[in-house]
Amino acid sequence: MTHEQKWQELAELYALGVLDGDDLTVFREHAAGGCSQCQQTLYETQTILGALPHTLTPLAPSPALKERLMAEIADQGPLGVPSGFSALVRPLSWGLAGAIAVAAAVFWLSGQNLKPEPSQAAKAGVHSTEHTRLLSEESVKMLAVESEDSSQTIYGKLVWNFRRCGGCLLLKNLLRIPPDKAFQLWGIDERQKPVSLGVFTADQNGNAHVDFHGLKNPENFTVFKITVEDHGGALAPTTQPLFQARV
Amino acid sequence: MAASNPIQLIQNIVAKDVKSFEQFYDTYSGLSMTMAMRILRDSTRAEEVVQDVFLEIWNKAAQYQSKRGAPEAWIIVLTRSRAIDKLRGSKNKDQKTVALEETLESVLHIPQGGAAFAGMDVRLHVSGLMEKLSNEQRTALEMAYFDGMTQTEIAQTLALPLGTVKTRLRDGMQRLKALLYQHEGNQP
Repeated sequence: MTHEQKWQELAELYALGVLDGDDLTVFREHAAGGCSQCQQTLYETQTILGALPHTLTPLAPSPALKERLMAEIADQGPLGVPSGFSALVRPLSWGLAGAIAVAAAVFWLSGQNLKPEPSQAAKAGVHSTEHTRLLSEESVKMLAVESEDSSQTIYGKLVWNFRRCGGCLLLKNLLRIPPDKAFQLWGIDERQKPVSLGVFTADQNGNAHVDFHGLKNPENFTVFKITVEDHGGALAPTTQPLFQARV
Repeated sequence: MAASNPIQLIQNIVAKDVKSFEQFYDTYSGLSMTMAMRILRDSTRAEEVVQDVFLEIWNKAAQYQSKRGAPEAWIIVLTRSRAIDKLRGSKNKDQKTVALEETLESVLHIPQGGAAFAGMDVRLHVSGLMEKLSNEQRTALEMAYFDGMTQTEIAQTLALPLGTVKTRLRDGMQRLKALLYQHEGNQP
């Protein structure tokens, strides 16, 4: 077996998902080097494997499943996640969810040189000790959102909890953009690979709020950037970022 | 806002267009259910997988990248990964399903010259495809693809040397490839 045949065999078995043990380790190290021949083999094998489900007798899920699914997404907010901060903290208790929300609000308001009314804090039902506990978590970071262009003043905070695989972006004083455009938030890792974290628009006062969660390898993000894209969002940034928040 | 192009549908789903999501579900839920049922052989658990897959699509449509494969391939990989996770039990989830998704997420990039292969509509060519493999090849491939077994597990289950299993799997895939190319009018 030649050197090329060896890697082709491993690539085919890898695409099939059967590699384990040393074979898996060796192939991963090889593929990480960017072998174009292996990429070709992986791609072709995936295409072939894509035929296999079509060899089965077609089935359909029950109509009840569609009803449940549509009801589930209807329960979610316009950004596709439960309203408020619950998407970020879904795995957490509601108490902790409240703590995150209020902690973010406290920081947000402090950034605006405003103080929350005591009654508002009481209404939230969260005590300062909870804020302290939350903010003492090593994985929680409060990032300042900065303008890439000094002519644009922006007030923004990004609550980032890589351990919870999510976060929340709060922005004020956003510029107006055409109705067929939208803002898009990106997480960018050390390899400069952008991951879309959500598409959003501002309200009439220029305020916006984005929750994001369920990310893969979120600890690798080094910077968050915001671009203006077509209304449905883009698969990768197509314009220069307007704002950024560095981790 | 609903469209018929699946990639356009995904872009609309990114913008939280419910009608596009419904159209996408109507198009692909059968494929997802078929795949999940084959792996799990239990309609309740299969529907749980389909629900998880489509909720993931609703929430993470922005992560789809067309250059890494057609929407159908995305559905298949998601369904297979989630169903195998469920089959093995969440506590036993190992690196295998991670590897399945890696092939689309981080390792696989469509290379130069891949576009022609991508244009192949495999649905047109699969009738009786598996029956054209030898029993040994078909069994090994089904254990790998639908039962989520690793090469070592297949070897242990069939009481065969690991090398024999690898050969059967590779020969089976080469045969499938040749059959698909044959239908497509290309040379492998």
